[in-house]
Amino acid sequence: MTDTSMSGTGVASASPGMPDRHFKRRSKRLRVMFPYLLVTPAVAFLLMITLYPGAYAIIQSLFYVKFANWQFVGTENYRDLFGDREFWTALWNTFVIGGVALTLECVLALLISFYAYRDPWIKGWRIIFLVPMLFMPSAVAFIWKLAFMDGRVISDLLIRLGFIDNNIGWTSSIWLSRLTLIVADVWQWTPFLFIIFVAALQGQDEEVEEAARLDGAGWAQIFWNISLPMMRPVIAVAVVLRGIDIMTMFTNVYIMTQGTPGGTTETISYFIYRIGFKSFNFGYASAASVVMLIMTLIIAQLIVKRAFKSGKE
Amino acid sequence: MAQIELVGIQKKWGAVWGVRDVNIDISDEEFIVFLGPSGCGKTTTMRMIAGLEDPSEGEIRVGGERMNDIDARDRDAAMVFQGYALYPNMSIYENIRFPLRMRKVPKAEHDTLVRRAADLVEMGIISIVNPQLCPAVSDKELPWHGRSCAARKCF
Amino acid sequence: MASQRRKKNESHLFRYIILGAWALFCLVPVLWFLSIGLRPRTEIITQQPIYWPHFSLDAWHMVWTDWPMGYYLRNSVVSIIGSVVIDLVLAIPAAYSLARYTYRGREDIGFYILSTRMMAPAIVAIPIFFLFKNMDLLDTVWALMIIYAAINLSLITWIIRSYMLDIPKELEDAARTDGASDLRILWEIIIPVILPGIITAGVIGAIFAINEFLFTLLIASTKSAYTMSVALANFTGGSDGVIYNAIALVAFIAFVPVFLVVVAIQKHLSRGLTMGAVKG
Repeated sequence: MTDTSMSGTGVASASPGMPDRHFKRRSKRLRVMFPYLLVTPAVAFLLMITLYPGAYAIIQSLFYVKFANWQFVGTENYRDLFGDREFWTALWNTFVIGGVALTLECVLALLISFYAYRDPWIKGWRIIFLVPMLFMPSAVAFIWKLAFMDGRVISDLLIRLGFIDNNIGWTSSIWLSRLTLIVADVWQWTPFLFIIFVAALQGQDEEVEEAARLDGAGWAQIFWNISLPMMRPVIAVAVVLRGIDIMTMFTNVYIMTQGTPGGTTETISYFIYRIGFKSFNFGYASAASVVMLIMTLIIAQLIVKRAFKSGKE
Repeated sequence: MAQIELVGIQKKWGAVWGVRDVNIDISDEEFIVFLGPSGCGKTTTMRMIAGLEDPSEGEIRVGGERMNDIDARDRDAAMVFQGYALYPNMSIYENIRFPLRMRKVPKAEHDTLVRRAADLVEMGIISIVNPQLCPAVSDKELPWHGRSCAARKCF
Repeated sequence: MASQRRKKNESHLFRYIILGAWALFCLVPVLWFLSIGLRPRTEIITQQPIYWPHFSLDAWHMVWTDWPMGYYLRNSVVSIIGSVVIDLVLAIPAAYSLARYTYRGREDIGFYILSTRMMAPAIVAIPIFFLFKNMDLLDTVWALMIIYAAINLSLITWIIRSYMLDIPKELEDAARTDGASDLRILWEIIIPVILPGIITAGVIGAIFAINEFLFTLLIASTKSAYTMSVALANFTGGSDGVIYNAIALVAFIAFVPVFLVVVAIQKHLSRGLTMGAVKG
């Protein structure tokens, strides 16, 4: 208030009622509740869209559902599910296809970002490498479906290059069929990891690099011994995010292979979709959903939480 | 009126002492300087007076009234921050005007008050004319930033 | 000295071979797909693939006359913009709460929000289908709006939270001593300062919404809710087989605006894609 007397009378209005002023007292409870109030709408919305379906799926999984007719069957759906070879195949496919694709994407993205991040035209490279990621996944699935299967372009190119003699039936063999899914995923999503890795490499302290160079380290050594360890939390977060999407792969399977040949490219997402919306066996599909939900929760607790904690630091 | 009393003020974060048993009596229009090595609690004490930090124990009184439960925004205290804390999305003029808007001073008086505050810290016309935004803390610092920050507190 | 330099040039050459090869791998399928969109239908599925087709706007006319393309476009735009608006309204206060206050359960709430991103669409697909069926929302843009908002809320909240954490605490303290309330600080200072972050979050959310497939497939069944991404998968009209040139063209119509927007926010992209965990 000393300022007031210095700056003259005109300012008095800034502090109204000077002689017997009263400071406003506000509800302490409101102050404590305020952060909860801010976060409540978002949490309520998410609960509606996750908790309700979760509970619904658990209940429905205990019934045999035929249209509007629900018949209680206890744990029968689960017993059937665990004895169902198609279910285990789908689970196995998801891990195989996802694992191979994720490994490839990670290695390629690291390799390319290693060569790109010091390049003077990095901005241009980034834009070019981004392109595949920005196509709708459903469109990308069609690009590759046409290239591999319907248009036979890839077979034709391989014949011209002399690698093979005849057209390849991509959907006739288990691994070739899986390969088409892997190629489509690698093509579209390696950029995702690349963008993140390049940003991490560009963001690292240049002085550390320079010091290492003075110590006689080459670029490859710097990358291996300094950049890579520093990037570990970033890689963890990026791989976790990509891993989640890959393990729930649906669009490409739906459009490209529909699970052929013989269910060997069917992922767990497609399995649930097929049981639920093609065979209309909702109770059974819900049982599979619940199993997948439990796996998700375990993975989220064990891996995701840790990855994001380390990513923050 | 603006007589400030700190009675047995303490601040503790867990087992760490921030401020330990401070008793000061500052009378109206008195000019007080806190001196001390870093980490001795100067800033924390000031933040407690301004209401940005709740004391763990003790009482803060202004003009005889207990201030502990009063929000910082209602205390009508002025504080110049170490990093200036200019709002980077506003021009210097808007920065100085901000407290007037928050305290619902009639709009008609704003211009006069802002100009007077600017004069008071001797940055005169520059703040009024210069429409440029205040850069964020990490950006380049301009000579008049400290002063604009002080001007904001001159009401 | 000379050998040193030669070695350096060689390594440059090797670098450009790698980068060039990857660039070709990225772009050649795209260009070839574009050529599919601009050729007549008779030249798509042939005995021998045709690499230099005749130019034709068949697909363009087909898309706009045979299909209610305008509806698909409108559905996409309305549902996506709506979902982003819902998300921002919910996410900004939530992010502010997570970034700026300390209270019991904050970490758990934050992780709960994050974990909804892990939820596979297939897990909740069936219950959500029945939920919308009971609410009579099947085949409407409203259902799409809600579901896209749900998918992206965690992402958008975490991105915005990360930007808020960057604002010096002093700024808020200053505003508080200036007499501003918490909501005012949020509205007049925090939001304008992190506007680039909010835009990034919105754009990335919108892209994920454009890409969404499974839910849209279940919810939409006619032109009143078909979006680009699902409509495209339905250009497989019975005896005609897959109508690839129309698909390619629609894919490019959707690609161009996305590409332009992403180039504009390039600087923030890596941060957005990692939900704020990586500061690019």
